[in-house]
Amino acid sequence: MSMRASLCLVVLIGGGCGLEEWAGPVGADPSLPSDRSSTSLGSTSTGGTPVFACGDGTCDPGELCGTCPDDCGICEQGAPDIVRGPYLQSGSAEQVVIRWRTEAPTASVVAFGRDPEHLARVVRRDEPTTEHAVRLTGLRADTRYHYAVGAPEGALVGLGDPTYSWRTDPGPGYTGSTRVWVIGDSGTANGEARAVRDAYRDFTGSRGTDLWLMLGDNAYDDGTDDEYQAAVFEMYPELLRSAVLWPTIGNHDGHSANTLDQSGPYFDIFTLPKGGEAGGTPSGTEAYYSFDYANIHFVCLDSLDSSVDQDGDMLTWLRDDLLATTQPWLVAFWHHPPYSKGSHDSDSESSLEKMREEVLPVLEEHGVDLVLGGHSHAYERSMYLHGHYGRSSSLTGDMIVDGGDGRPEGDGAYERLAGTREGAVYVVAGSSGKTSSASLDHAAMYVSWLELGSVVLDVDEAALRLTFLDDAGRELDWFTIRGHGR
Amino acid sequence: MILGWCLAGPALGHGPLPERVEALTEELQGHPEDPDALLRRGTLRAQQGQHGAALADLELAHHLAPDRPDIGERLAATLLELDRPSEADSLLTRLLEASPERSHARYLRARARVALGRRTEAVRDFDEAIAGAGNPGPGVYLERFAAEDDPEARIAGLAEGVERLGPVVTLVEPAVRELLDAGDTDAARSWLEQLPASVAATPRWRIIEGRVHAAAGHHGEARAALRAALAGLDERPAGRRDTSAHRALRAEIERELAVLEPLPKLGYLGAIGVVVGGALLLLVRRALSPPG
Repeated sequence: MSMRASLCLVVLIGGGCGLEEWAGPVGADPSLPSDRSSTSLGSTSTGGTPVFACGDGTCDPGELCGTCPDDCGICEQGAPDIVRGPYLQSGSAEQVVIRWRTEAPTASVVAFGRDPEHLARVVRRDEPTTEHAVRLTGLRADTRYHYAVGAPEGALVGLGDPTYSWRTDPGPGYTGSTRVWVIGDSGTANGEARAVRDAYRDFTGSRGTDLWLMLGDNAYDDGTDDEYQAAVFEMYPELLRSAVLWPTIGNHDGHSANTLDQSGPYFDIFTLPKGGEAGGTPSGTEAYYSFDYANIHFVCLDSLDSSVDQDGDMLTWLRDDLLATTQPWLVAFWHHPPYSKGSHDSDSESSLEKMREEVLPVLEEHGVDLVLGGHSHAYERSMYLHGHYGRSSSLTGDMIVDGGDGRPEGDGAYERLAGTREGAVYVVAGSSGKTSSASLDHAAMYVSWLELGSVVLDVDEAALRLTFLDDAGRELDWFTIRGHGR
Repeated sequence: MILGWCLAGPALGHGPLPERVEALTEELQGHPEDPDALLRRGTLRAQQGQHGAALADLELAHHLAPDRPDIGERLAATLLELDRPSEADSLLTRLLEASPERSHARYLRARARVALGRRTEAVRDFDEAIAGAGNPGPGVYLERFAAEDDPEARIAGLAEGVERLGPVVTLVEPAVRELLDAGDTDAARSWLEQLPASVAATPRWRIIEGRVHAAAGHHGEARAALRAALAGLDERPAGRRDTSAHRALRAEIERELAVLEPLPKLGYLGAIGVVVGGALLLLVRRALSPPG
């Protein structure tokens, strides 16, 4: 997919090339070279590398393009096509990273502002690259920003397009509702993944999405860059540019990635808050991290490679992070689910067992509300539980805090009130790209569905509501955890 | 844990593990000497926890393709899972002779040598693995810290990690603990000062700050830090305060505070009690004393 916008659009919609306001300096993330700001777009004399193009390809200045005499022209300066993104990363109330890929190296420019007709602030990076990553800082909480990206040669993508916008984190104390879309094992790049996507798009409509999570196996079979292009960037382009994506690594992503040195496509593609840029305790690695959004603290763990020893790095960090958060709601996610009898069996696969036995006690001690996983290609949802760290058959009545359906109109919502017993719901949501038959008979589950679908979370001050939406838009399961007074 | 950490693993397909193993078994019936299929099946069997069967596949794959470092590393990882570090060490040594640039093999050999008690050599391998890997995470620094015997080198290794990763709690905490054990409270305090303010202000780190002050004999500062920790807990939303981890943290703070607090003062009511009690005692003694 390629996109182009002309300099004329800058002039007509942006109110002229002279931009009024300078953006502040970018953050100190060493992975992102320092930026500088520009007062003008369209200039080629401020450090950007001019790009010369024949159609979609680069060329040398003055070279003839095409076949003369009938179909030819002169190689002239233009802007390279954007072949990936833009996509939003590591967003918080104050900052965001905007990334995109171009076919040929160029400098990077982001114009942004609150008025879609007048993108008054510009951040620019002069170092030519095909992998553009620009951190915008000094943003306001709970504010919709519009933006456009491109190169100093004049092409900006996104001008005048309302889908090139996102709302910053409203911050703690937010009393409104937050919508989170959750997909797992979505990386098939096929019609089934598209159906799941479209069903959610129709479901959410103009409500939109505040943020979204990918539960791993984001690009089959091996998480290569080409597979990510097909399964992520060509599958969800509108959402990628309008809501911050928070991924976790799955076993298939791990085929081509290495957490020893955080290399490979997964780590190259995503910019994740290892320095606590989005509100959590700094982890020092993109393999696991945490962030805040509104009144929710999210924890992303690595169930693939990181040690789950109690005195290892991940759990040491996790305990610190969980003790530090002051957010009322706590949601954790990783790839290998602690309970499943889907296409993977949590009674016999070590990756699943170790997360249940080693990580769940830590999370429950700190009051986790919801745990999301993928890996099994089905939807499985537990009762309201506490203290179940063994195999399926070891579940006993005292571990079931509430065995009802968790629905206010049914058996009643699960209650997470001060003074009530701690509990959490465990969800497997690994059917966003395909389903795989299985027994689906784990004792901890209240309901299981062998259906394509995704999970929608709606969270406000008083309640967390989860819905499983299938690929036809049917709400096959839902429950609520009430947390009023937390 | 080790298995999943191999570089650029094989394509394994997706779906239920037993079905994928079965499909590979069928594939291998037609091509029994295909090292890639053996590598894939061995990896899947290891994921199922069938390390013995995984080992058989990987040994055959290694025999068929002895120059493939990816197969060698996975085989070594499986040997480590099976608690056979000596064989893993030999295999990795041969592999590293041929491919000295393999940071992952270097890391695996470090772990094998830790298991064999050859800690000095293990630390050397950790050093080289860290130097060779572009962006190692905090876990490798922690493993090296655990393997290193020299106190100065232990702290220096953590400092190297902080320099590359920033002051992450997983590296700062063992450094502070180590320095406190050694009685070097100044150095411990300077490690604490590296933490971002948002982390340093959390109750858990206020407790650690209190311990550093207490160890330095600064009991007033220690009490202040612990009280700040308690206040921090009280500011949390009710639901966050009401977890077993937070209750344990509160008990820990109160215990440490009790050790540091001076004997409680009597207070206003206490003083009245003493006066009234003394007067009563006097009256009783007078009443009981023989008339004179």
